[in-house]
Amino acid sequence: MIKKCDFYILSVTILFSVPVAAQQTEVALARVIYEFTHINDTLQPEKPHQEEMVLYIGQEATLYGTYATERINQQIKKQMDDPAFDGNLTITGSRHTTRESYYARPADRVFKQLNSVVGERYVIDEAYPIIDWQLIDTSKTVGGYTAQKAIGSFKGREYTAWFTAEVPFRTGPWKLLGLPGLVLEAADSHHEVLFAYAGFETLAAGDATVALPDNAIATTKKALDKLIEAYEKNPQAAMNARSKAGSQSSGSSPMAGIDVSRIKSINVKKTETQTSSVTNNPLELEP
Amino acid sequence: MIDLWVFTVTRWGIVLVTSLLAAGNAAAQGRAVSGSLKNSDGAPISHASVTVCNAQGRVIAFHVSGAAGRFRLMLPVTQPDSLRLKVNHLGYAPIDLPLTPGRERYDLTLTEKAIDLSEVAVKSRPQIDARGDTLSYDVGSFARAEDRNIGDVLRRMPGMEVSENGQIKFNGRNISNFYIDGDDLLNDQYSIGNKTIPHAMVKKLEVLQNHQPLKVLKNKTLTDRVAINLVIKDDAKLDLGGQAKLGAGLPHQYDGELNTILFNKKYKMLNVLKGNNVGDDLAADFTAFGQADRLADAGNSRPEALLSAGTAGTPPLPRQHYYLNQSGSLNANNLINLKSGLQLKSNIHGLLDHHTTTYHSISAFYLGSDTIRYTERQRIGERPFLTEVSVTAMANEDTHYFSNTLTFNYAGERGSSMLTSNGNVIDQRLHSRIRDFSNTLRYTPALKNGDVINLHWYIDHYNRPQTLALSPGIHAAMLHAGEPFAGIRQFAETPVWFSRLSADYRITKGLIKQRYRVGVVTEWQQLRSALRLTQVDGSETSFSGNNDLRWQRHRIFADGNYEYKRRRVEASLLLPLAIQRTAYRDVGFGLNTSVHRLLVNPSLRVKWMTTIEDYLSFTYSYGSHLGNINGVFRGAILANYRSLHANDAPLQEHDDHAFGLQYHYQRAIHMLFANAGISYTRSMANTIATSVLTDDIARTILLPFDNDVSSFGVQGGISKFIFALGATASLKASWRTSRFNQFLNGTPLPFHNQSLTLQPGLEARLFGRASITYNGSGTWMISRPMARKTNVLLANHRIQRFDQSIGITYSPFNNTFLRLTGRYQYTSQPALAAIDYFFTDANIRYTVAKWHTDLALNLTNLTNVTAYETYALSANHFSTTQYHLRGRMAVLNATFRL
Repeated sequence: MIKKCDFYILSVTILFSVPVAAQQTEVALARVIYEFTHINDTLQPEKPHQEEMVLYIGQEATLYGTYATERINQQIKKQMDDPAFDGNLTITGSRHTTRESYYARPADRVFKQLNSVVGERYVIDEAYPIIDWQLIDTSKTVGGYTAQKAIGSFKGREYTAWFTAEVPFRTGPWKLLGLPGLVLEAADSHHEVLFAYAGFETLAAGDATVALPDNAIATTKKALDKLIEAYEKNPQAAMNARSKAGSQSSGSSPMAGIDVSRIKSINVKKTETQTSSVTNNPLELEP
Repeated sequence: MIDLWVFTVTRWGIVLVTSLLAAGNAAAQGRAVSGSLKNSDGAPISHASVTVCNAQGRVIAFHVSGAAGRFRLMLPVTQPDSLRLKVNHLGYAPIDLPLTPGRERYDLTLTEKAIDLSEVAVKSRPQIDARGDTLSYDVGSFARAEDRNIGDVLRRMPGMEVSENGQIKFNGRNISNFYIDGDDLLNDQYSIGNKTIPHAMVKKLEVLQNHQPLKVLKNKTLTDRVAINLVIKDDAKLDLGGQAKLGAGLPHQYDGELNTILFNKKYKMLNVLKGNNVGDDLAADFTAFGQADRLADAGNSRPEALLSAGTAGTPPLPRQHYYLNQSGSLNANNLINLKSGLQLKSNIHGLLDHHTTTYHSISAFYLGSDTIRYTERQRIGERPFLTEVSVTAMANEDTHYFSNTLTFNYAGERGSSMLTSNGNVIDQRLHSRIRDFSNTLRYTPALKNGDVINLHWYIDHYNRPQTLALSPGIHAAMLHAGEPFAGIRQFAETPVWFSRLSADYRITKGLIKQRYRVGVVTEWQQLRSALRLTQVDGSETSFSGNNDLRWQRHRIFADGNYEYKRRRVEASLLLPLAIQRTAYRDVGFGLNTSVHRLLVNPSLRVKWMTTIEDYLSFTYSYGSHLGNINGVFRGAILANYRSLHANDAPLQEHDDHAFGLQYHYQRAIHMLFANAGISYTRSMANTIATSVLTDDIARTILLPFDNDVSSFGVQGGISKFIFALGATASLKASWRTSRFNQFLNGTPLPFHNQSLTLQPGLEARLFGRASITYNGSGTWMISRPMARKTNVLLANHRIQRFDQSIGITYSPFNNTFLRLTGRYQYTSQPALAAIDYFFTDANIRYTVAKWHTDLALNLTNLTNVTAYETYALSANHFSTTQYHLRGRMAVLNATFRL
């Protein structure tokens, strides 16, 4: 039986394919990296969920999700570019990875959660997050940018966000949207959730796109939870449900819809996860 | 106002922390500023950011313009001095103007301005900056205590399938390469690796999807290949490892193996020595899974062996049930990576085997007016051997790829049997040798513009001389004018030289990926056969009509391949054009013919995604093909003791059309997968095989008559994961009807066959430690002549067959593993009694970690089925065959890790 953490890696990794063709594809103009910390188990605050996250910013839309996959790619590239490369990739890192990513298009008040389960991608509509931010006449420098303070409450937590107007983008990590600048740093009042700034850069055309994958299947949270539970319970039988129908699908295999020529392999070295497996303190305390 | 400045040094450099004692912060809202935004054409601009900033540049109020481009901001009552109004919107030049006291309305026009990212200050980049769009795919550790080899683990991974012969499939697709730490040590003969490499050596198993083995072609062509790579643990790389296996059992069974393994960066080896008599067919270790595809791709259609020792096939059971053997094999694979980037590899295979097959068959041919029956009882002892040496040199660089593989294969077989046919006792000996030599050269450089040239040259020499000796002299009436004689000796061989040289050019950019290829294929063959009769006095006389047929075929071809993929439509088109000349002559028969043809064999595939999950695909191909040398020889060849083959027709030509339409439906969220499709093929040939049957011999001749074969099929499958049970249930069904012609004893007999197959399956896990699988198959076949003459003998024939198997695996402890399998087969035919069989096998494995030892007890054929009968039906031919099986067997194995 697949251990749970393997399953997470398996599912998450396919998610961040740097979206290919899509219904509303736009070029990513820039990206922000955040070091995300979340004390998911208040009884073990020393074992928080820590993960690098990335926010891709397009003209109309943004996409926020794990950066772990790209970190792995960087390691692979680094090793493979080494003339002494012997064919053995050693990938370290990848703690607990986030399965979900979030697509936001503020002009249309569109907010979607993207999820991937063994190759098949699912999209769930969510309410557009609205935070009544209160601007504070205080600023500090974050990563070289002057960032102004704002406070607002969202889903049971009081957030302090630091946004900069020095770049022409108005967005933020996760669901912390709606400020007149780019949120570089945010934390909740209990210091249980932290989005720390870890870098910003502009992107050349073709580096990345912001889009919903073409082949993502629209569904509901309830149906998706049921599916995930099934895979975790009996992964083999669940996988076979697909192949047992006969005549293997030439295109709708789990890898379909992904630009085939761009795919290589990666080997994720499993490190002992530092994240507590118990979540008694979810990110969203209120529905 | 007092500003307090504090500097602190952090990882982000100097961070300025400012604490402001601003007076107006808490004040109530007062003055409103409103306005509208429009572009130079007067159209409103929505979703622009409008902010009011103080002298320090901090935002004190903000709003986002609405659909009509309007905005409205509330400013605090007590306002700091010199406020500024700023408007920002990507795609427009920003506006920054002072807020005039007393002015409340600002109607602004924004000028369009292309986004210029160079104006965006990047002050702190992420730490590592390397972009890639690689997908990571971790298959995790699936190993369980009961597993020994990597093959055991592989079988369990989602999407992986290992077929009975050891071939690995991932999501229904055969894997193209089996890498060990990035090196392709075993070529496509990887089943030995699967069976031998301990999973404990392997750190990770990587699945390389859309794999392109040539670095120079990476990201330049579409590929749907899948490969796997075993990443070896660091500590396992250092030492020479190995295993010794000793097994003994009842009755009189032995099974032994010794292997040495070394996988380091520079040098890799996997050497295995094996011997057994437990029914393990060691020749299976040498199966080259890609061989058939490679030959077909090259267009190298080696003529089939002309002679055989019997007419019965193998029973539809795992080989271990009927393989009575004494086998030994050596499998030596060595690879070295030189500093220069060149890789040298040798694969040496040797096999010595002796096995016996015992069977009894009855064949009946129903003719228009008669039924001809043959009985055949035979016990064949065969002694095959095989030696195969393959040497490869390869350089796989980003700028070019080079490889050369040289292969020698010398194999053969001696078989002898006592055959009883229709009451005659015949002593039969078949002797054959295979001599095969081939060289494959490939050179692929990348050009400066990114396009790629590919040069490929393949040359092959193949010969398989065979001699079939029969005594006493049979078929005297036909072969020797009724005079008795002592024996028959039939010799036949077809040495082949084949060469294929091609160059292709790929245009790797653009919407339609294109590949153009030109090439030359040449083929020389010579079919020689001699049928000699041994006289009573020991002298040999030649039966008239020995073949000495010289054949050559030359083809110049050019083809274009176009691949298109955009949004919901995916299409690929192959347009090949070839000029082909085939010439053959045999002076002894006054035969001297040459055939020129222009061949256009296009194929098209279109796939249309009807929804995100569902698609419709259509395939069509047309092929115009010419037959091979086995269809034109004139002199009679005794293919087996009761079949005489000859031809009296021009070269066979057939035109084939194939259509397929497939609909694929899935609701992945509900784990429901289904597909349905229809297929139609039609083949029109200019010759037809005709048989003249007598009580002792069947003479088959190819005659020039038009032959039209068509076949229509419908198939579908559905599979559903049942959430409540954690189980997958599936059902596949297919129905096929085909029409074809057969000539028998001078009478054309058009036939119509129909078959229906249903295949249910179930797979479930029980209580975590046990799992159960069920697979069933039911087939109903009917064959009937289309011209319904009032003839009882040509009645319809029906066969029903059910084959069901169930397997239960249970692991009570981490070091103990039990497997029990049962298989039930049932066959019925109206005129005959139904036959049914039940097979059970059990397997228990126990690991003694302290001793580095695994103990396994294999119990096979617990119900001790020793006689096994099958029915076969094709057109007017019905046969039953009874095989002798290995009986109940128990073997205890101990495997030590060295």
